Amino acid sequence: MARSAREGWSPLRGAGALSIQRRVAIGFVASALLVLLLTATSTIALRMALATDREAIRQAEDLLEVGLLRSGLERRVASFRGYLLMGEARFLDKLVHSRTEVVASLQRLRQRVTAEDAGLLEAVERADRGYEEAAAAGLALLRGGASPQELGRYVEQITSPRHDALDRALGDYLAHKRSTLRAAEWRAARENLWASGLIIASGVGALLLLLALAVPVSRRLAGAYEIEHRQRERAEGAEREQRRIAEVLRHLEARKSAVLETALEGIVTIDEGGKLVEFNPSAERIFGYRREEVLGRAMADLLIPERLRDAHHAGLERHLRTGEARVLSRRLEMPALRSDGTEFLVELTITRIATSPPFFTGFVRDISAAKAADRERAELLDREQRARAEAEAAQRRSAFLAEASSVLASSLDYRATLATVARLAVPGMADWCVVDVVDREGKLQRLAAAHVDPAKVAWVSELRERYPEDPKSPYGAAEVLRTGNAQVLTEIPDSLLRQSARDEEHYRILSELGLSSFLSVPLEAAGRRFGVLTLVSAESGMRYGPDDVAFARRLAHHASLAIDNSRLYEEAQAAVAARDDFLSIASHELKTPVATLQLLVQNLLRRFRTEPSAVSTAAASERLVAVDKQVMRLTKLINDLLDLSRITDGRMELDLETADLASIVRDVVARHEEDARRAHCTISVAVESPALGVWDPMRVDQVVENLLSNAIKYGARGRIEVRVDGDERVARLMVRDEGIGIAAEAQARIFQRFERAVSASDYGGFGLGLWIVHQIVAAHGGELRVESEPGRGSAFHVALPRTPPEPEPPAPEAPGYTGRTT
Amino acid sequence: MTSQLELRGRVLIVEDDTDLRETLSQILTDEGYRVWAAEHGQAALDCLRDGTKPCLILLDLTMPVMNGWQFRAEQRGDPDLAAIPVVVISAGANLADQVVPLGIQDYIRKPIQLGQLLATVGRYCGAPDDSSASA
Repeated sequence: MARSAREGWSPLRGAGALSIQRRVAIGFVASALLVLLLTATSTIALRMALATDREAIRQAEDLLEVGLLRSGLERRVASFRGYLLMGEARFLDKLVHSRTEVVASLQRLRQRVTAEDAGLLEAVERADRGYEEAAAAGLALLRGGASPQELGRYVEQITSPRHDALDRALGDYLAHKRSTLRAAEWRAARENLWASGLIIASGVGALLLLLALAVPVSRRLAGAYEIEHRQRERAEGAEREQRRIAEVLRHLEARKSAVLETALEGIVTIDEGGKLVEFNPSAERIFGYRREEVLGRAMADLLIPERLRDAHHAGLERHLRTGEARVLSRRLEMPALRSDGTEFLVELTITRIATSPPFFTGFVRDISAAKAADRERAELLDREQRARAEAEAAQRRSAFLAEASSVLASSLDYRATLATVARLAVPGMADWCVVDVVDREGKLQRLAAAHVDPAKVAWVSELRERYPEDPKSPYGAAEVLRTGNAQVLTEIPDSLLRQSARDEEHYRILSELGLSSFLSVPLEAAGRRFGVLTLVSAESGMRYGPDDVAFARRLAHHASLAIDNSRLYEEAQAAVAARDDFLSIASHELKTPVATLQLLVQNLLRRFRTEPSAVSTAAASERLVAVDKQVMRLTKLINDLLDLSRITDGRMELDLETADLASIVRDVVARHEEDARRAHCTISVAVESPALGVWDPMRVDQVVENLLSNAIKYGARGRIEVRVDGDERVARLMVRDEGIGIAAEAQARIFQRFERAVSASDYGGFGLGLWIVHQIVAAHGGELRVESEPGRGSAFHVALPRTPPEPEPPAPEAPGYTGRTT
Repeated sequence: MTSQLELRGRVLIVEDDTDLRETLSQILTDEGYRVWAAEHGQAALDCLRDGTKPCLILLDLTMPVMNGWQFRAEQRGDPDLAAIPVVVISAGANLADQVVPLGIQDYIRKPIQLGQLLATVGRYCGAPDDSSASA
């Protein structure tokens, strides 16, 4: 019953007559067939997997090559630009080297090219030829001596676009290669999976089949040994198969590793939990971690900068939850973290490996070097633009100077010229421009100020009156005038305002002006420093630097010449006016004695004609004495005029001999006794006699004569005191009157030509007397000074050295240089 | 000649140049005029306010203490003196223009022609020659 039931159950019921050996043989044959089938299937699967792996490796090698080509091209363009724009030889070496690299790289790529890539590679080669031609032409330009600006333009307009075209072509090629690699890798992964599946499936199938065969057989077989033996055999077979499968898998893993090992890009794979499961050598190089130390650790903690980690976690979580893929399969640029903690920029593409649970593989490239090259290029461009801007500024300044010098040359009016100088600088060079000029007393006077808003000019000049400039201040016009050095303050710090403000109100006003920078340069002409030009920036926020100082100095130079010219012109005008005045005074002065002379002579003639007998000899003689006196007067006037021209020409010569000042004084006083009496003056003489010295007696006589006649003329009927004394070295003469005196401000100029302390309409005379005295005393090496008080009289002191000074040709007096005061 | 002096007019000479002043005085005295001389305007005013009025003032313009313009202003401001005729003696240029603001028509330009001097003085003070002839 049991047996029949068994037979009924057994599929091999019909073969019940078969012997055990036969059944074992059939089993073996069937097993052998199955094993053959399994082996064939595995082999086919393995072959397929191997083929796709090789393809992937080839693609990876291509990619490596393209990468090399790209870096070669970048080095080439950088060194070309460097050489062309900076002309340094090291760039030329680099250029030659990188060109060789590029050619070799292209050559290798051409050998490996596939029909699919040929078009793209050709495009790259075409673009490269285009760039090479442009570069060669650029080098020819350089050898042709083109200017940096032209070269810059050439680079910007010709070679840069061609390099960009080349970069684009290469980018296309690279993108194509990358996608091919990715496809190949994906294919390889798929094939590997497929092959493993196939092998496992066929192994399992075969085992099941064998088991199916073995079960009825073993049921038929009696004896534990056989069963045990079969079971052992079966187990051994399964173990072998498992070893075999493991080996195949190891093989596949090795292939995959080869791809990972050789890939140029860093390949980093994480599981859905963000743990690292793959980290290839490039990734090791890029990130600075060893594979062993990172596998199994959270990728984000190692490779992503802290501030981006939350975003990464959120993105991964969102993707896993919703399938939304914002970053997958796109080229990304983002900062990454190295093992040493430094951040750098990577180019990244993330692929999801569609297993379940999925893995994510990132292909990473370090682009910080490329970015640095970009930055360098941008820097070069920037430097070039700056150079161009500076050249333009320089040109603008020289155009301004040219305009300034023509405008300055257009006027001879002193004040108008100063105002022009100030106006010229505003607003191009400054918000404020002021010109300070030294006056006769040596004080700085603000003669011109300009600002775009005239109301402000008025306001600031008011301010200046309220708070006059401190001449001892280490900043500003006074100091520049003292030292002759330009002064520039690029910044006007608040502390300086505080320091120069007189009080809180002043400080507030200064702050409100918003002065930001200032620049003062001296005005100099003919070796004389006569003023200061100051530029101040306020509203515009201009900052003055060394370039501006040089520029302001040039402007000041132009302005100084113009100002000096107009000043000379004005002084010449004044000299002409003074000469005209003098001529009119001279003719008036000459006419008075001539009038007297004429009346005397005509009256005498008339007497002789009408009544000759009534003219007594005594009366006639008296008239003739009067005539003679007028002739003497005229002679003296004419001599004064001759002296004027002689001294002015520097032709006053002294006839030196030993003379006695005492006797000269006595003579002169005797000559003037009559005059003094008529002028109601008394002369008292106190003379130490003799007063000997080596002088020109005629000239010394003239000195005494002029001083005494002045004393009589201006003495106002008072007492006149004449004194002679001295020591062994110097003889001294003093002439004192009690007349109208000389105001203090007039005392300095009375020794100048055509000058007198009083109005010409009140007192006659050439205005030459004291000037001649001064010149004669100076020619003798002596000194002349005056003590006087208006209304109380004057005292003139002459000191004459007894021995003549070292012979020195008397310098002709410079015609009216009024800037120099006595 | 001295007996005729009473008959002739008084002339005031205002001139700062001593030589010229004395020469003018001499000549006019010789001509029979009574002559006063002043060395500047202030002295002349003092003289005029002393009493007798002259028939003519010969006035220089350029003088110390008080010049001719100042003198003329004082004189015109004093009703006692304003009517006395004045003739300017000066060497200045544009004399014709200078005297108009002074309210003076006559002037004698330096150097002085004796004939012009005597004719001018005669016009204001009577011709001394005529009176001397009639005397």
